[in-house]
Amino acid sequence: MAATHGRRVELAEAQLIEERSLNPIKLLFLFMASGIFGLTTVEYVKVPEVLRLAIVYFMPVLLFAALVISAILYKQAPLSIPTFPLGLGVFLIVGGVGFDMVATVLHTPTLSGEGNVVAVGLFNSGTLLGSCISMALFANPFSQP
Amino acid sequence: MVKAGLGGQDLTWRQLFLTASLKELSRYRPYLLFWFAVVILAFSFVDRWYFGLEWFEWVPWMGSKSALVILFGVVIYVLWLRSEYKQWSKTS
Repeated sequence: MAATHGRRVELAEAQLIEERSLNPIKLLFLFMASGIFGLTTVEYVKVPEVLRLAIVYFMPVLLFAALVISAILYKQAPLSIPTFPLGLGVFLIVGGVGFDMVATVLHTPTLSGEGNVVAVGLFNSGTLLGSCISMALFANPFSQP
Repeated sequence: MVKAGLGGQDLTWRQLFLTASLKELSRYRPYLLFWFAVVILAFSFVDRWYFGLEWFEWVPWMGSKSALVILFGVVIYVLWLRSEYKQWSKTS
């Protein structure tokens, strides 16, 4: 009886530690929330141009950190991710972004009709077209939400 | 099972859909909530396929229907979780 009680206390303590600690999943979630908050700010809130640009340039940093954490988590996973959801996710995210980017560049090579807030922010700051496209290749999946 | 899939197995339905305090928010299971967010993110990319197809004029322009597609994705996710849970129940 006492042993069972002790085990329960241990489990409760472990759960409390897990809830309070900043584990990689929480960190990843924080990055996602920060990205969404940043992009929403850039698109819908009137902020000074310097701040807008800072947010735009910070997005790839956020993405890179998220990718590193994702890779660590992927390596730590005890089971492999089921093929169907993984394949569907890759098809939707990588395929969708790639196809849309190719179609956009083919139809408007100067990206004159681009409405993406990050791209518009870069253009307005005088960033070269090649740099914009390079950044889009790296950061586009993250700029969707 | 739906609550568990959304990362709120320790929450009531009210707390799940209308989180009122930071204490309630901290009771979400971040791992499950994260995967739920990934599902929403992945299905929001259906729009990109649609925009690409529309650029080539292979589909007519009907406006973005991302909210409907995301809802469809969430339903698929819950059904997939259900089937996995059933399969797991049989084997264990």
